[in-house]
Amino acid sequence: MNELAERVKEISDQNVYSCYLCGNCSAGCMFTDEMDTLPHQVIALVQMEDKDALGKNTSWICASCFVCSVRCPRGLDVAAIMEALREIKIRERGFRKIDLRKIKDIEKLPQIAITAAAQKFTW
Amino acid sequence: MEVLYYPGCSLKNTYPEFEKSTYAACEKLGINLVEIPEWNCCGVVPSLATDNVMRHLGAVRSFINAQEKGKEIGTNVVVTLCSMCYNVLKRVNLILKEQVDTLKNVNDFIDDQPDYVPELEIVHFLSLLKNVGFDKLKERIAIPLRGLKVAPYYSCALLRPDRPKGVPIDDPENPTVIENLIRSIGAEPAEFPFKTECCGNYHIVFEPHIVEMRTKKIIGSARSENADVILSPCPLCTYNLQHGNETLDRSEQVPVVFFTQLLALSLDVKSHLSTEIENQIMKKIGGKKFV
Repeated sequence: MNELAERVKEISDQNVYSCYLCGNCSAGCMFTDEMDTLPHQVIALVQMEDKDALGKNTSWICASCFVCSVRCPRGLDVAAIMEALREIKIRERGFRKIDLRKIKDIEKLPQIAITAAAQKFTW
Repeated sequence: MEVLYYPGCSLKNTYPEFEKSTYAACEKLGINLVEIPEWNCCGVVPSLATDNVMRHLGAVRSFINAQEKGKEIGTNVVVTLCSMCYNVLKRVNLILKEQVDTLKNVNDFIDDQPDYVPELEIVHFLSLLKNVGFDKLKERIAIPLRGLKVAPYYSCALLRPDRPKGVPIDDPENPTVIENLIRSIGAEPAEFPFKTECCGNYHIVFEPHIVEMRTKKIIGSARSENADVILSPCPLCTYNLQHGNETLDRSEQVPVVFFTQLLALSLDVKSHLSTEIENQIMKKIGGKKFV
C-alpha cells in the first residue's frame, strides 16, 4: 500500500484498493457540478499515490450526505475517504481552509451551520 | 410514557416552534419528555476520522448526564428531534457499544463525571411515533388535514450512513415513515423524488450558492408535485430550504414546516405555525382558523 493510501486508511479505516472504480459514487453525487474532479477519480489518484488528490476541490465540496457510502458496491465509506483527504490537509501545520471570523451574516445563520462548517473545515 | 429528551441548540434558539409544537403534541399523546440536565452540543456532524475520538466527547458528556437522570426516572430511552443531533448521538452511541477501546478512552479522558455505560438507546421522535403506532395516532386526530398535499423531505441525517449498522430510521433509498405519518394525520403525501437528497448542509456558511443550487431543485420538485408544504425533520434543512425560497419568485415558493407542527395542528393543540401558513393550511382543508 502506498504512503498516501496508508494515511487515508489510518484516518478513515477505509482501504482505497477495494475500489474498482465503477463510478457509482460519482453517479449518485449531487455536488459534481461544483467539483473539478469526480469522487471515484480522486480515489484513483490516491491508488496511484498522485498527491494531486489533495489539491482537488472534491473533498472540500463533499457535504457528507453519504449517498456514495450507502451505494458503494464494495462497501467503502466514500464520505469517510473524503474526510480523510480533508483531515490530511487540515492537520498540516499552518494550513487554513477558512477563517471563521469572516463569516457573512453570522447573526442570521443557525449555530448548527457554523458549528458543522467549523467541524469539517478546521482542526 | 416517560422518556429522556435531548433538545439540541436549534430547538432552543433558531426554531423554538419545533420544540413547542412537540411539547404540545406530546402532552396530548401522553408522552412525557424529561429534558436531560446540562446537555451540551452534540457536535452537529459526526466525525468520520477513526483516529480522533475528541469530537465524540460532547455527545458522551450528554450521555453521562442522561444516564444519571435515566436512573432516577427509570428509563434508558433518549429521544431527539433534530436530525443532525440524532445522527451524531446515534452514531457515537453505537460506536461506544461496539468499540471497547474507544469507550475506555473517552471514559478515562472524562474524569470529572461518572463512567458512561453504553446502555442508552437513542431514538428519533419519528421512530417513537412509529412505535406508538400510526393507526393509534390516527384515532387521536381531531382535525384531519384532508386535501392538504405534503412533500415529505427526509434529507440525509435520518437515513445515512448505514454504519455503524442501525443509524438509519428507515430504508435509506426508499423510506416511508414520514408518508405514514402524513397519512395518519389525514393529509396526502406527495410523490417526491427529491425526498432523500441533500440540501447542501453547512455550505450555507461559505458557499451559499451550492445550497441555492440544491434547494432550488428540491423546492421545484415539490412544486411540480403540487405540494402545499414541505415537511422537514431537520433545522438545518429548514433554514437552507427557506433560504432557497427567498431566492425564488413568490409563486414558485413552497413553505417549509416541521413535522411536529402539522402533527400538533391535527391534534388540535397549538401548532406554533406562522399565522400566514396556518391560515393557508386551514383554507386548503376547508376548516376554521384555529386560535
